[in-house]
Amino acid sequence: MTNQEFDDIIKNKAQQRDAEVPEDIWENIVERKKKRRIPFFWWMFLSLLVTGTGVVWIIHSRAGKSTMALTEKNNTEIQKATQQTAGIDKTGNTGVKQTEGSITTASQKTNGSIVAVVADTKKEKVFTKLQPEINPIHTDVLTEKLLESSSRSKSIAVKKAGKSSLKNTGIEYGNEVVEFFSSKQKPVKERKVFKEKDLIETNENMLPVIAKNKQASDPDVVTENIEDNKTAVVAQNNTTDSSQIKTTLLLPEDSTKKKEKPLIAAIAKKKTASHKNSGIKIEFSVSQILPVQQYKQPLQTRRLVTQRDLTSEFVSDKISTRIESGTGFSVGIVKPINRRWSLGAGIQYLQFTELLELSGVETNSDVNSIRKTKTIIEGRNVYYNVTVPVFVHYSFVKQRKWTAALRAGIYLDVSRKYHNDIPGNFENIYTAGIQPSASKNNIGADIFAGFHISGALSKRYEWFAEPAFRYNLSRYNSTTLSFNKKIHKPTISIGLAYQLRR
Amino acid sequence: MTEAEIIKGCVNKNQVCQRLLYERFAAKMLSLCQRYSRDQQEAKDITQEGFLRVFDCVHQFKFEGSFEGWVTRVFVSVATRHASKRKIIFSGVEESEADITMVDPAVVSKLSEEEIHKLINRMPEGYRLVFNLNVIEGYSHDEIGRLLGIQASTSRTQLTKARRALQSLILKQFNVVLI
Repeated sequence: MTNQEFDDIIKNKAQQRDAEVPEDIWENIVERKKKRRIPFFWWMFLSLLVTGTGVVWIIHSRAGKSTMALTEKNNTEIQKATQQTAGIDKTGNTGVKQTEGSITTASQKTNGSIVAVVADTKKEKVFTKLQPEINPIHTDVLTEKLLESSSRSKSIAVKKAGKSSLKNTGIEYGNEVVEFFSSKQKPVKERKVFKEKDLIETNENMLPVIAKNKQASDPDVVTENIEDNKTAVVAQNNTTDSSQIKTTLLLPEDSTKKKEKPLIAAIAKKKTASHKNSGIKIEFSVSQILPVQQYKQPLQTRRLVTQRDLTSEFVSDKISTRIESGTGFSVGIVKPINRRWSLGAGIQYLQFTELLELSGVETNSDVNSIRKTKTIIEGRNVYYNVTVPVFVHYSFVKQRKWTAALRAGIYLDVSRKYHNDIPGNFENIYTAGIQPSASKNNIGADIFAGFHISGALSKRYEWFAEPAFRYNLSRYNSTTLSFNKKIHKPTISIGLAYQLRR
Repeated sequence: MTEAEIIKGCVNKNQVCQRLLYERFAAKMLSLCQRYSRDQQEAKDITQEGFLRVFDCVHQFKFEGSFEGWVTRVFVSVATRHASKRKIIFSGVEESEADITMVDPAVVSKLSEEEIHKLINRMPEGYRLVFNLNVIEGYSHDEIGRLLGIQASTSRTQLTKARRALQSLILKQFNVVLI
């Protein structure tokens, strides 16, 4: 026997052999297929996270530059104002001073109220004190040299002492003495006595944050100011946004009159974290949806496949579908418009699948025979949505650590893709007629409403959870196997929000 | 459902079509994997990986030639890659006088498919790989050299020795049977 003959016999025998296939092989294959799908979602999530972080970083770095530029601009403006007030000071009418490390500005509102502002350029603090007993007006200069930077945003440590303890200072103004001190350094007594409420703090741009504008426009105060003060002056802030402060310098009107009553026109306002971080938030979230379908089943669905002499026609007598839960990834921006209301928008990628089972009769006919078999076709519809959510956000509970809010808006499907993995073209037969399979609908919309609960993780980061319901407005009629249905989406989202610096 | 429809369905990731394809080829491919593996578990692993590869790459099938041939090539590729991870020694084994004895064709024909399969699996791994690739799958020695990372001449030598070893095993098998 030659080698070739031997090889041929062995080859035939080996190739004819069929192994007994254990049942678990297919199960393992299906399981491994599922496991291989998971990384796709993780890659999507990670890529969104990286992109979002990049966007935050870029915006953050730009915001930092803008803040620096603004600070420089404001410093220049303050210095100019100081020079101007210094000029007035020489006349002996203004009472506005400048000391080392601090800048003093003074301004007058159109209604006549007077505010003198002292800015500590080293510590980014501004205090205001108006002392109308002295003529010309004297503005106390307060430099908060001892406060630690970490404690700036919290409050000024104030220690009140009896009047007698300040005998040596010779200061007798009001009923109390105020000392400013830090825990590390020796307290320094200020030269003047004033009340805590007479202080104005500034933001990081060294401009005053005047939350209680009403004091400046208080009728009593205004009247007294007009009567008692000869100098000009005055800066007025009409909003709580310190970046919008405009300084106006007016000429003195009359410095000869003496006032009769003490006047306190300045206010104290503690700087709080909420003021600093009340800007735009960027939100990253993962959503799990449990779709609910609403549709009218067709009388029948039919598929016709023709290959040369063989024609195969499938007609269903029972259709059952089940939509599995889906996952969405979102990035959004939320901008507050006031203390309670915010507006937001973003983008979301959402994917979910639908399992189909079509039972019916398949008729295979060729030239010689016609054969009918009971057939069950199983398949899967996959829906891919790229959606732009636009919403309003109303915070109805605002606690220090957490916030509860309502959210409502619309999800605009800018791209709806549909994939059906069953071979052949189907057509659905409704009572109204046959719907062809060529129709497409690539856009759509959902309205939604839900609760938004968030809590602080750190100064800038927040977690949030959002149970919501999305009501589908437009039908999925991309192909007939979606059966022209509406898919409503109960959703639970969890995510992280990052608060941008103002 | 025709083979073309199944292939098209698999291209569209239709699970039903994938199942049909699996059922059509599972027995043959598991048998192939058993020839390349050391035990049943490894054969099952290679089979699973082979089908996953087929499902992933089925869109590359251009309907030129036999689909079964294409699937077989995918499985052989997976199986040889698995085998390459192991250290395979392509060296001769001590040959006895009986190994050189030529086997009667009638005797070989009497062996069942299962017996042939078992005898092939009793060969040393290096022999078995080359024998499977050349004799059963029809790969040339150059192709085998590229697949296994060996010289074509080594493949030829291994094949000669494998053939003799198998003949020897067949004779021994019959001796046992005849006794």
